[in-house]
Amino acid sequence: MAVHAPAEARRHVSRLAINRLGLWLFLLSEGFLFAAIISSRYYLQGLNRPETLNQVLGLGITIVLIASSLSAYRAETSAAHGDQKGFSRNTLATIIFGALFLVGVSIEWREAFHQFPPYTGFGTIFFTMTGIHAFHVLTGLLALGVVFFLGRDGRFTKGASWGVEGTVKYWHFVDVAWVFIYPTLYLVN
Amino acid sequence: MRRASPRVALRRGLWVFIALVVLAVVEYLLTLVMKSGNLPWMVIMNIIDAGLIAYFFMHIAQLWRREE
Amino acid sequence: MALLPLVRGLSLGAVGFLLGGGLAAGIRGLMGLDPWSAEPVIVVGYVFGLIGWLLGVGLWGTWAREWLGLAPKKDHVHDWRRYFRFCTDHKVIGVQYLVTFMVIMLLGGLLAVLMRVELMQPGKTLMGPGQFNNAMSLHGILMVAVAVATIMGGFANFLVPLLIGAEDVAFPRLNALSYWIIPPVAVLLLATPLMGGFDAGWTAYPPLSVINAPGQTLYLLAFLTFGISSIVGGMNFLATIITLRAPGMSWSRLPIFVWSIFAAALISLTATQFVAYGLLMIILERVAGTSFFNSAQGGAPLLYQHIFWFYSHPAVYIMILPAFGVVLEVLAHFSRKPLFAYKWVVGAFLSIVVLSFFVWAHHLFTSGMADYLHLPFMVTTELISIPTGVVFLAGLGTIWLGRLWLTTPMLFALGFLFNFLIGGITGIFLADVPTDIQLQDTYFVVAHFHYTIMGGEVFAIMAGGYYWFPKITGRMYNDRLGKLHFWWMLVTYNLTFLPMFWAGVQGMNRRVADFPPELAGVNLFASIASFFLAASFVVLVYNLVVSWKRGPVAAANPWRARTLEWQTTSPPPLENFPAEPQVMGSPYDYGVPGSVHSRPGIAGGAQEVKHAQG
Ligand SMILES: [Cu+2]
Repeated sequence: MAVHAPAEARRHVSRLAINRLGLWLFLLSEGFLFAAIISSRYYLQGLNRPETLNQVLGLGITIVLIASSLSAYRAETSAAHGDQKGFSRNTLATIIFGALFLVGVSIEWREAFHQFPPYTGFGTIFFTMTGIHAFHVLTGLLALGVVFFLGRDGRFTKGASWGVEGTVKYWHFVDVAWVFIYPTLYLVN
Repeated sequence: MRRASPRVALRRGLWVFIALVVLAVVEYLLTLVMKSGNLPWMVIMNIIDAGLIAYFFMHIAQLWRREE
Repeated sequence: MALLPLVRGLSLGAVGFLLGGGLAAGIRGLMGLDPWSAEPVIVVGYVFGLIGWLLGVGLWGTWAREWLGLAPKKDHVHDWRRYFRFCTDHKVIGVQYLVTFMVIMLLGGLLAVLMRVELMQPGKTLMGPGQFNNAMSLHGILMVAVAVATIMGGFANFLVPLLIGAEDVAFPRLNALSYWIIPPVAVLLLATPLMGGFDAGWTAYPPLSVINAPGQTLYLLAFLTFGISSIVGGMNFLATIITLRAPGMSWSRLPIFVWSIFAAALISLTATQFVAYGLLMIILERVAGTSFFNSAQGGAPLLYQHIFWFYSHPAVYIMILPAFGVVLEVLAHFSRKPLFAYKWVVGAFLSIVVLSFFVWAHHLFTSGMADYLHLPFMVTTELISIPTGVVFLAGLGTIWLGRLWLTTPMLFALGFLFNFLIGGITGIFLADVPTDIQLQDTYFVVAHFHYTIMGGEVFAIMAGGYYWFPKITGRMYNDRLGKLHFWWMLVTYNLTFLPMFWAGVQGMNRRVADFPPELAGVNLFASIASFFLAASFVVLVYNLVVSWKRGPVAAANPWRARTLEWQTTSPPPLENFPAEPQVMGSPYDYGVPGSVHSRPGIAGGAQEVKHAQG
């Protein structure tokens, strides 16, 4: 048994690079899910869009989510440069922005229930699309929470920090998905 | 991109953020102005959005650039 | 004690189910709806139950503890109990998949026999039309799962790391997860009869799938869960093949089976999301009252068919590409000749991947889809027969003038070529719109896809199973029984399915329990043949079980094959190779003077040298 080489010695591609590739592949896969959802919007509803959509809220939550991407980026950059305070502060900011986004969506849902309920044509698309996206936001928030909780002791600011990097990449992806969803639901005509 | 100093990196993030917000606002205003057929413009702007986020925020170039 | 993880998984799963179900009921109560409506409670309960099951069966101990800052526990079990645990060894996972799906295949086969009993004569024989449709639907999805997962989950897991000289896959814990997510799928599917079954076929077209018995919801959840497993598996294989190849294992030296898995993994990574979304739409339609498919509210039932086939056509390549890989592997090793047109085959695999995304609507020629779509989808479908033909010709070119060694796996590989030729040629009639409009939904279709999947892929599974049996189990199967199984299966298989082409042309509809009396003869013939076909599997199971326990101990390389999996012991040690092998040339250059595929690694200390060489 002594002749067996240790596991790590055999790797020629670093663990970090493998993790990155795996996550990107997963995000590619998720991209297909959102492509399916968006294509079903055009298949069923064409460019139809109710006038009662809350446009201000739509633009507002979009900007909030973009802001959360910025703070996520700052959290990752801070961690990579050993800035524990910056990491904690920005992770928390990201969580708050993300939660705010969800609050915005739930306000939107309350209004939508009266204007275009889920059994109507547009409501079907609206609730499904925002619902699936909000589910992704929720999972991202859980991951960010774990990262924030674990990172209090400074473990992520000492160099390799795949936990932060992976979570933040996922969070950016959720933002990208919304960037496509926003005009698809609110703007196209 | 090479590993930048924290200050440069944070500033770059801010510029990307501003660009994304501007794009979102332009999308919104464009809809107010154009009463139909704005879909191609939305797609173009969304692709720019995605490109900015993927390149600057998600460091997609790490996949084919060998460093570290 | 040995089964503790299973017990833990089951109990946490039950707790999760109660929690989720209670949550759903509570929310419905708050919203002023009937709290105990069965389907919403089942759906939410299942999601929580699934998470509980996974945590209990090993996700918590080996992984999730890290998320709370606790150290993960290492499992130190090294005997048979590994097979009942959240074990991350790709070889254990491969065997778990193979045994699980072997059992599922036998169950699905049993259902097929029941259907053939019903179809022995016109009128009612055994089941009513409703029960028949339930049996047909269950048979369909069980066999689709077998077709998707036996090679991709079983053989690929066991062999891809070995074939590329790695010690495991890129993400071993995800790999274990993608297996342990399967048992709930099986439980759900087998529980469907308790809830009225599901009679919409494995394709689950609305509107029927929206309004039938609650068993349909169990089916939808099961398929959705299975999809998650495929996505994770596809991601894992891609990352493994891209990053963990041994030094010298360039893309042009990759064994063809690995290439086929690479191609199939690309499809299962991406296309599967579409079916997941399709199934989710039906679930939402059933439990949340959406209107995707309700035309009164602006929905369109055809949306489902587009989304579904955007996955399910590429999915046939998730089934058949790995089968091509297995067959070409076996053909090359037993023809003792270089694999013919290796680079063309790789190109063909990749072009099949791309083309497979542009043919889906050939399943909708009679659905009422817009007429102008007929021509483009007919053309793309015919186009895809070009790369498929290249692969087939590469098989023929490999055996051409070879010194054939007619072992059991070789016989099955040759049987694959025979059956797949019939399956491929009859496919042309279904790709062409004018003939398809006549043949759609007849037994011609049934015969065609059984020729590609059973005559094709299942024969490839048998070829791979016999070929790698000594490597996996460390023992040799009984060759005479193996050959008996082959001839028995080849003959009875063709006797069962060849007449179905004729029955289809005569107008015999698929998915019906009854048929006009003038088709009695051909149906009786097919039924009787099918019973003999089923009996051939008794030979297989007997041979496998007895040989695994008492067969002669197999050498490391009984086939004198060149690929890497044979350059280590049978079965391989935990780390696969005592030291990382070095790859020097093509795996298939049999009889080429001076050609070497690999050289064993030097244990300890060689790493630095290799790194210095780049
Ligand atoms: Cu097809």
